[in-house]
Amino acid sequence: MNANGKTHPHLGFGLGLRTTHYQAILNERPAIDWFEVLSENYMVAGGKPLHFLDRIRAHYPVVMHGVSLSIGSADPLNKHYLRDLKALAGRVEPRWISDHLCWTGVQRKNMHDLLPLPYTEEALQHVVARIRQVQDFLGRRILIENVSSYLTYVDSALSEWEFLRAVAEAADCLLLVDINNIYVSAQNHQFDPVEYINALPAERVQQFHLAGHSYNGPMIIDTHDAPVIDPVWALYEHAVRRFGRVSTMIERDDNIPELPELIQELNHARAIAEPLYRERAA
Amino acid sequence: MTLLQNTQRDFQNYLLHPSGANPIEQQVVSDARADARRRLDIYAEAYRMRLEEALEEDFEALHTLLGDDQFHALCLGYIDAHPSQHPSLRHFGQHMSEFLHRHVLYSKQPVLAELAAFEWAMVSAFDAADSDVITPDDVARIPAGDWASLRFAAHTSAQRLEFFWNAPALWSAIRNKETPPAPQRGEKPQAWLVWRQELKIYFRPLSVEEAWSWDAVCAHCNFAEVCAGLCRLLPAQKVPHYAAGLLQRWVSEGLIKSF
Repeated sequence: MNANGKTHPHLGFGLGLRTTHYQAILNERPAIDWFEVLSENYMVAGGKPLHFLDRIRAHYPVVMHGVSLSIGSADPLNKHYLRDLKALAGRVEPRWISDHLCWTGVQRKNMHDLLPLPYTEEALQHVVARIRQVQDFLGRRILIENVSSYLTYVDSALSEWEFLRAVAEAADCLLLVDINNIYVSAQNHQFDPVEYINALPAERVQQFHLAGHSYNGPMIIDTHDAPVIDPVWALYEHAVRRFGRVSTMIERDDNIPELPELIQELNHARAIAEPLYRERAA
Repeated sequence: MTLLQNTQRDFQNYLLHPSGANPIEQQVVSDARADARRRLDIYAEAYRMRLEEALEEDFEALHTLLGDDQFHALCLGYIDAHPSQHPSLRHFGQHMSEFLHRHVLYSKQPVLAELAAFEWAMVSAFDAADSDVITPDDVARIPAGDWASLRFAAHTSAQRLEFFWNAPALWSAIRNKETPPAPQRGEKPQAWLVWRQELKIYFRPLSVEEAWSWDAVCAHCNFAEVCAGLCRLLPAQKVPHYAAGLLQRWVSEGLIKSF
């Protein structure tokens, strides 16, 4: 652990690496502290994706973020997937690897969505055992991210934050806290997002995600296609007060603007966080 | 079966078949904001939308040729017939050509299956394994006595296709935002090669002789066997010059990774 109590160093303020920005990043070397790559996009044999990743990796720290680990699925863990993930990690040497607290399919099908788990004792034991298995296989602790959700289960005995905390502690994994996802789920399920943040184990929080979302009737959908909104910035400010220096990044997957616009948004995160870091250090 | 298995099986069945009755509805909390069905439908709609977006990205020309409504209907049919079984969406469209070929309606327009096969070949070439390729200098250094027994290995991205229809011409016109020509069927199938040289995708038609030679090289025939086979297609005295020219072209196009 470093002086901040975190297992990993603070990387600063990063962006999700997107294909539309490859050339601009290499040409202009913008002032972005690090990049997060979607693991599955680079679990390929060769060609453009790995060509650009190798070159960008030479200039920036990179973390790997997956969407298909399916840690909560009732299916056995996909060993081919894990083998490919480990091989990619060997090539990229990411600062860390993350995926989501969710399941993506059963019966060997993949719904390509981050589907919510019932927060039951059975699911807790299942997820904990599998995170341990994955961490043993990869030889490193992983970060688990909270997802946005649009439904809850009748059977859930725990709140999401109780479940997430219990998973992290029992599996001894780290957390990627998606501030927007907390906001989205809080709106959809009418809970207090501040209570959620306050319940998480601070020493395990290694990364933040920030993103925009959209509306579908009374529900908020986590679409990553718009700028971060003010209530999410306010929640981010609260999270920085609670967790301190945590590597922060903006996720944009649709309506992707040019880099300067995203850098401006990232600078907004800096402007919120850095005075608070100084305040904590004083 | 455990409770978790039951819940996930029912939830997934809802995504795959949202119109039928499903016990998952009893497992999901309804409230004033949205009832269980509405909440489940958000996932069911997103499931189809996400997969359709992946198909739109991989089959741009097929989409343009069919138009939005027909392509949407095609996607819904395909999504139902071929649920994804791979961790990456990259592989989702792999059965599209076969699906069109076997479909009761789409099989009446065979150019569609060929266009899908052509687009999929380019998707496959895009992220096929990298490999070093041999250069004209490497070829120049081959001792004369070694030529007969030489075997060549094709670049991993290279794919040999055959089309009765003018699918590549349709693709090119659509790509260039021109009016596509009318689908046209040739008397015999035309051989095509799709490959990647460095990061760029290339494709071109092959003559009967070149197609035969390429297939022979890919079947690990040595240079003498390729030349012997070519003697059945060309006058024997022209074969050495023709075969040397082919090899030179393949090397310059980055099609040969080793010998």
